[in-house]
Amino acid sequence: MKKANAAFLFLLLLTVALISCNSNRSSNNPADRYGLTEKKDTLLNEIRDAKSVIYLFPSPGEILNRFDGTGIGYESGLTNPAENASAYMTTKARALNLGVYISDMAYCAVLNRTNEAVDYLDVINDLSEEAGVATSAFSSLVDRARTNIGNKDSLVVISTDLFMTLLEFLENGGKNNTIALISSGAYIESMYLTIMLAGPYSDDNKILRQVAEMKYPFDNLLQQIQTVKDDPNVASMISYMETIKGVFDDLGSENYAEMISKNEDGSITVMGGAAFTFNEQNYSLLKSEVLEIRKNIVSK
Amino acid sequence: MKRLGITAIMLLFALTMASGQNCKKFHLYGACMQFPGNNFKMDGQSRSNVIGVGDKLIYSMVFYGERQYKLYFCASEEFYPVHFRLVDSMTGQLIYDNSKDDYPDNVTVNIEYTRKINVELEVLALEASEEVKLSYLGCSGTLMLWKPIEK
Repeated sequence: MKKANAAFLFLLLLTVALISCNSNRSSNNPADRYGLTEKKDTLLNEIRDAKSVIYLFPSPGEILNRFDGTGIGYESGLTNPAENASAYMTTKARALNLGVYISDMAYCAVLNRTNEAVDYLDVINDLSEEAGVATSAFSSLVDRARTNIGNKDSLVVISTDLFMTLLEFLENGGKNNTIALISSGAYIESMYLTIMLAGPYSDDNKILRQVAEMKYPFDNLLQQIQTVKDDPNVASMISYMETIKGVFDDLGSENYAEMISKNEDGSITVMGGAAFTFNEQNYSLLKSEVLEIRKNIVSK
Repeated sequence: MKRLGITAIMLLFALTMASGQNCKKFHLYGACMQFPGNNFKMDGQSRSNVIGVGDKLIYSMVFYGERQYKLYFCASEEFYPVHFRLVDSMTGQLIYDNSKDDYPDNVTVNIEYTRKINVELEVLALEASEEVKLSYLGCSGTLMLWKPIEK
């Protein structure tokens, strides 16, 4: 017991000594002059190495904004009612539905329902507190949104800031499993809303091409959440997400030769590539899968 | 023993916090924050990270079709220039390498069809001392802006 106490005291003193050394470096140190940090921390290096490819994806607001100008309009009854929020009692349900409500807020903002968008912000604020992911930056965004009621563009930007701020806050706290759940909820809801608004399959339904290009951000989201697949809550979402990936992987594509050119002003133009297309069968399959997963997420 | 375990965890946490670098929203400050012209909007895939000389960051990003993108790259002062490359993640084709143009800090890219592009970046720190290169970490920022291509 005495040995354990001595070791405890030693570790405590070592901690204090190391921290105080770190904060009392001389001003000749590059850390002080240039705001750099010493590379002595192998843990930090390991974290960076593990993330050699960082998969990024647009926010729900940016995805839904792609449909602005396509002629789709607001449809009431599609979003998850705000009053459902209080019924989500588990960590998983709260995180997934926080993502759902972020997409619902973005949907209202993009389609000019700014009062409804701000109502959803209140739900997002409450749910983020209950889920333990609220930040001070987050509440200032909520305040900013309230002062911008009626300004559609500002609310769409705020919805993106809100999503990204939340992700950054969780990433800095090492809560990648929570990021995975919030992002999955947000993407399933975005897909659900776009599919419901896009209307039935037809060869000349141009909105479907934009639904098909959701394959790219969806791929990146799935790659990113695979990094926390050991979390049982995330693992169950991954199995759902993989059924959607299967549908996306079976899409047909029109391929055009890739041509990269440098213009006189120095800009680069990338022409060609692949344009993914649905047929009636795979669109119907995607729709039924997304509706089923979404039903499981929002059910109380 | 239990108390020892807790202390060890606290020690590790304290060390990480004490020596950790906060690069939060680095891309929104300093050299990255430039005015690209009217109508550009910020993309949520903009990003900041901790970086050291010899590290390479690879971001897999989604670029939507019929858009013009402007990418700005910045780093802690001692770490310039920033070397970046854009590579089509499906075909592996090199889209742009700023080392061919004497390391400008930005590039404008027009995209016809939506695609994923790997944005690779490293800091060269050509004027930094060996001590800084070997022993220090700083920040890097990638600011992504876009506007629709006018038809």
